[in-house]
Amino acid sequence: MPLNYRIIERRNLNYERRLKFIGGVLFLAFLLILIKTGWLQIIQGERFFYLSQASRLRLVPLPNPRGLILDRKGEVLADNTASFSVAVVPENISDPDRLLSRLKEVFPSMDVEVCKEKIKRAQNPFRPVILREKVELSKVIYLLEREEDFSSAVILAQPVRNYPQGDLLGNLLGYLGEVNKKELRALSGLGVEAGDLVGKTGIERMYNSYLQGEKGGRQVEVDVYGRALKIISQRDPQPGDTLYLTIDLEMQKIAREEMGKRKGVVLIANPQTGQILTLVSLPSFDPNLFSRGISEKEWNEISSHPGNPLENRAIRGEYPPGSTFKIVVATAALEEKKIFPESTYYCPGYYKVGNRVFKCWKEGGHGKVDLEAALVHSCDVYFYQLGLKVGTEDIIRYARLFGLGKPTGVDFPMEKRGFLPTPSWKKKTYKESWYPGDTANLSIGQGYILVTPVQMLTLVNAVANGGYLVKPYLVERIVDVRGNLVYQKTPEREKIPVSSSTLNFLCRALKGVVEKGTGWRAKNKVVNIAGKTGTVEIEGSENPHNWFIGYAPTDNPTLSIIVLVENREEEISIAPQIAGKIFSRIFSRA
Amino acid sequence: MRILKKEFDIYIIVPTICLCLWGLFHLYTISLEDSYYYFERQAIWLCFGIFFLFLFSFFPKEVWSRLSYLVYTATVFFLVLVIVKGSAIYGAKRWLDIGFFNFQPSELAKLSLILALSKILSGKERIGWKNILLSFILASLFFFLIAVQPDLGTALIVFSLWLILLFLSGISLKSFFVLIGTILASLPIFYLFLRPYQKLRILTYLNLHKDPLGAGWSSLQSKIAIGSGRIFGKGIGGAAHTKLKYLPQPLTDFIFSSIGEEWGFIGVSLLIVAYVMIILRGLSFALREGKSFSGLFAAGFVTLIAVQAFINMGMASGIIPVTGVPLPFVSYGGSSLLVFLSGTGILLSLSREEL
Repeated sequence: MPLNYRIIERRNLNYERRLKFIGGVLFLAFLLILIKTGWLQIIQGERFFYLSQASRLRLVPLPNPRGLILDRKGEVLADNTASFSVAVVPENISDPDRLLSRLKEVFPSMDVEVCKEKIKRAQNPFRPVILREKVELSKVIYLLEREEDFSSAVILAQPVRNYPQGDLLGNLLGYLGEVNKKELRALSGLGVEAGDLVGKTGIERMYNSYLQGEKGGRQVEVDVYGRALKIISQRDPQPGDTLYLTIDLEMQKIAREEMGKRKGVVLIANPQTGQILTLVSLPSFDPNLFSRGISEKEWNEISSHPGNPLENRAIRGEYPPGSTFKIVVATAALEEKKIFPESTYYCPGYYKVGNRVFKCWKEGGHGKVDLEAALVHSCDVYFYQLGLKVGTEDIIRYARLFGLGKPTGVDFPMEKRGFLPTPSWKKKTYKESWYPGDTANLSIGQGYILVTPVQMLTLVNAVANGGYLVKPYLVERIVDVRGNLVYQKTPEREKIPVSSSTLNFLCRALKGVVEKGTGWRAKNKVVNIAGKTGTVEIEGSENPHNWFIGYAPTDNPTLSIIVLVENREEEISIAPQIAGKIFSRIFSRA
Repeated sequence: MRILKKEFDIYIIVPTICLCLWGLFHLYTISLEDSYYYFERQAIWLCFGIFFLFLFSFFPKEVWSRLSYLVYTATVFFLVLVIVKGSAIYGAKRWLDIGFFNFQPSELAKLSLILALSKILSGKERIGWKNILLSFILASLFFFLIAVQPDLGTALIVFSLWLILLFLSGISLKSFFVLIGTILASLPIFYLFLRPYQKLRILTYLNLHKDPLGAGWSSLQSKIAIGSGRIFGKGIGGAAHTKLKYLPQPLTDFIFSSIGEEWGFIGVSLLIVAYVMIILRGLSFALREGKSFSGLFAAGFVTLIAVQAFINMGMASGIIPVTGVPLPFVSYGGSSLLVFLSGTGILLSLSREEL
């Protein structure tokens, strides 16, 4: 009996020990929970608190329309339209194969495998994955009508920049592109964020800060499906301001038509104020290509085009001015009293400078010519001699007075400054002295000198408006969305120290150029034009550049014009003819 | 010798009722506006549950040993019935639609198994292979009937209940480790029979953050919810992460996460204290009763509470993989609540002081 009792006792002891063991294990288990939750809530609490906020608070950007760009009369040059994309929310797709095969019926070119991969790789299952962009409106409607078949698909609308005039103003307006790192650094203070579209060139770039407006934002509390349940705070989007350009769309179209397929520039401006009414730079491009997402092929086509259509030649093209530069030389000569207007030189068709022979453009020469005749007929021999008499220094000084060799200050990004050569520059660059031949070349606007068409515009404007250097500009005024005037351009002008007698002489001579001289092809029945032609021989090309710079009407100029035809293909002087046709059409319409 | 000082063990009944009421109130605070459906239903079940608790506690203690096989047989019947005609929710057939509510026999199975095993294993001087085999048959019948539903979590709980009661019943350690070894060896085979989502859950646990969208998503969101409660919680009704549905099943499987979010570390500690009180009380009763039916039942039942609470809280805090196991007395769900309150009633009846 005692033995039996001891066995039972031992077994109970065993039971007690095991029960305590279980109790100990359970105690440790609960301690583990307490430690783990303590770690989550106390040590990591702030982090998880932040995460819970971050995952349920979402900033939904409210897109704001970019500002419009209008011409001076309110014609639309750039606005916004919607582009539609088809997307799916991965979390909501019950049967991806079925959905994709149905979408494939609508979009035969869709790659089902690629789409499947996209859906699979989605980082956030509640964020829409775009399967197809730039969907035509008809297909959008089709999808919406059959909503039950495509219930897990969503249509997203995104604003897209639209340029109704296509390539008519391509390299003037510029185009939009995703902001790059460098731009981001420069623009980050202005509310531009990675992924935003900004103006890359042209007016879109110059006035980006006005056009972009302010993005709105809405802080919403979202549930796990990304559904917004409650708006925590909201900032309304501010549409961009509207730009009124100085451009006259109708004139722009006329100028473009008259240029045809030629390469070159037409600038028309108000010589009194500097408003640029027309800026044609050819070849051009259609900025809509960029808005819709340019394909690699299209990009290569545009960027490797020999005519460089992205470049605005009127402001960023540098050319020798040719005979149009004779205006500067003549002014320098008269102002510095190196000659009287009546002084004559004899033109036998050539002129020897040292042992170099410089030809006049006219074989056989002009005979005896005075300054006016030399301008009217663009006698090179006269100007070789005049230039040598005036000297490089004064020629360059007057060129500067007319605004050459420095930016005009036109409101366009990265204006080129042209180039005025000097003896010291030549010495430094070529380790060569400045020879009289260089002066002779400079006198007829050849050699090292380079100008931009917009610089020539300010030059001809100064002649037309009685000696004022006016700053050319493209944006007349800026108006915010409520119609308040944000910015109004006031013309900036500055008197050039040139006497009125010299200016009167120039006007008379330029009138003669069209009446009886080299610019006769500009003559028309509608309006009297004054101007100066120029032909620039280009090394390596048989076809010279052809200039016409002028204004009309002659007695009280209201418009000035620059026509530059690059590598003209015609045998004749085509630039004055184009200028004449443009002006006759413009003046006959009024 | 023993005198009736008090009818019921208040160290069990008070924390139990507190847990139930807190759970109900918590359910109310995380309900979305104008949707108190779950709260109202839980309130009704709680009334029934408390009724059963008191009803059973008045039963004479001898009844339970006698009823145990009957309850077991009835449970087998229900489990078979649920396979034949049960209604499926979330792809699993676990519920019997009995008019006013969906009854989940697998919850009942836990209690019946404790009753049956306590009967078989109690009062024996030695637990031989015959009793081991018999208890194994009882447990594995439940295991398979529940595993095919499929409800892996509950099936594993059933299995562990068997091991614990066997361990307590005085089986020699040698036999016990032989059993464990056999089971471990057969695990890989068992793994082959798991459903893909169950495999995924286990695999995700091994590498949580690589797949924030699948099973790992739930676990991550749960940890965010708990952690974001910090020490003092977000306040009553402030469980935003829960309310915005970042937590799957915030009323049942993940209720601990929402408690952590709303009540903070203070709340979590109180919750654990309540469980520890019940468990300690149950174990000390089991200690006093010895290896009798009452002792084994008490030990088995409080271990069940502890195991489920541990699994639920451990899953929510990311200690163990995601398995759907309700938090005893707190989680939304009639079957679980009724079974746990009935079990507590039985425990109270067994522990009632004799005159």
